[in-house]
Amino acid sequence: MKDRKEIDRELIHRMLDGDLGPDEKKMLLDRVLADPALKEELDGIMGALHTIETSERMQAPPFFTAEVMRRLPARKATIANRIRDFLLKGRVLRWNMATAFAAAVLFALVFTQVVRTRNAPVKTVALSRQEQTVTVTMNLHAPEAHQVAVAGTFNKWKADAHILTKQENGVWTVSIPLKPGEYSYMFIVDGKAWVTDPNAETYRDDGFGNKNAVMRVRT
Amino acid sequence: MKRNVTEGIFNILIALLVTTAAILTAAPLARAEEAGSKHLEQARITVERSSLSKEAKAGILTKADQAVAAGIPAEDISIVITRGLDQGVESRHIEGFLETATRAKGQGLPVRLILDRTEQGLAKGVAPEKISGVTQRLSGHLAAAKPIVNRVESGGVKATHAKASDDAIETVARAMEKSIPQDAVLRTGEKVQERKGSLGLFNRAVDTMTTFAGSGMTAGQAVKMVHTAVDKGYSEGDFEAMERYMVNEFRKNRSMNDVISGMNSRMERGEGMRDMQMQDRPGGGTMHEPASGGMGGMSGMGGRK
Repeated sequence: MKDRKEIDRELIHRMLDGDLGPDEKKMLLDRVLADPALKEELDGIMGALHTIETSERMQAPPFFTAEVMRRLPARKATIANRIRDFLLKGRVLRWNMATAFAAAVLFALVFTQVVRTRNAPVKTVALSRQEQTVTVTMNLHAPEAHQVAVAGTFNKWKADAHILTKQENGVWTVSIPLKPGEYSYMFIVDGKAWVTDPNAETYRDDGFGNKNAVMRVRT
Repeated sequence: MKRNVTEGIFNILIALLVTTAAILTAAPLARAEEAGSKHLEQARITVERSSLSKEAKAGILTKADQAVAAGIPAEDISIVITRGLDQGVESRHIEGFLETATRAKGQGLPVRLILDRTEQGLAKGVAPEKISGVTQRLSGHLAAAKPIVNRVESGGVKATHAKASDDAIETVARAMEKSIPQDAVLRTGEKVQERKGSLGLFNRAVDTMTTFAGSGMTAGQAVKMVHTAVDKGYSEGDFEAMERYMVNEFRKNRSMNDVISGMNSRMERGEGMRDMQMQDRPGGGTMHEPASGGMGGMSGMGGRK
């Protein structure tokens, strides 16, 4: 059985919640007027509510919860718990505009690099591959020649990039490090005669009516 | 206090990591840019020092700028210009070479073969009109080859490396130069797909077809030979060995008919071309090693080891 005070307090709470009907309101008013202690209690509650409603709203500082949690004394944890916390515990990421800007710049650089690599000319792609090179030795027997060079797809057909050295037996020779792949080439004798290697692995039309020798470099 | 110090060190480490990553990312770009501008600067100096008229110089430099903007490697642009001027090629032809490559690049075509033909033609002293004709026709073949390779790929033939598609487009374009019909190339793609082969195998098969057609076989014979080989499950290495076999047979003064019948009879017996190559080569050897070079007279001597 509820006593009078409990009933009064329940009425006050319901009034504050806006749940009282007109009859109950009248009953509470009569009780307040008749009981000074009850009136004082009701005035106190109403005053507190007024203070809360009219006071300035304070914003919680950033990472308030994380800071509070951080300042709590650390509990002693086992190694297993530490590992579990390290892997699974929720984290609060702090950031500022400088960090965000740095991240954006980094992302832009990486993105640009990826796009450029995809659209880059063949040469750039080839340079980015860390491929092993194989030293290929090329020979030409030309005892009467004064100079022999070799030009091909490996040196963009530069006639003076790879000059062969003459041996005592009349064989001209040069060793060139090449990446694995297929290369077309021709010898240039005395700076003017383009000679197809007669002992090449295979041959390919050069598009101008002659045959280039083809070598396939494998690792 | 201790916690704040740890956090500070952690932040410094993060900052160092971010800075290092940014520098590492930017450095290759800077080096590539530097190398590219060096080549272009060299070409620009060559043009400025040439005896060309002011208009001709401006024309070449404009085409060079357009080629750079299209993504043509600066080194190739520089080679075309300097080699062209060294050979006394008229400015309109040099402009034309650059324009052909730029236009092809703009169409999304691989330009390595066009640039190679141009640079090679200039180095060999081929007439500029001939170089122009060859590269323009090649550009057309590349444009026709691209949808064929796309169809082969969409049919399920997979590229095994980034450049495989471009390689295949260039190979198909060269096949077209040898009048190999487009439907024969597509049929090759279907056969490779049926054998679950890669774009590399397709590329090698079409390349071998082109080599055969360029060595005296009719296009029909070359197509039939290669299709049979694909049906027999020949690998890329087998196709390379077929080419070597043909070259070796020619060195023995055998006719093309002998070569064809020799290849056919071995394929019918189910022998791999590499086995055949091992038997026929004097001294044998590993087929994937470069062959040893021989020696001979001035006209046709030489070799490689």
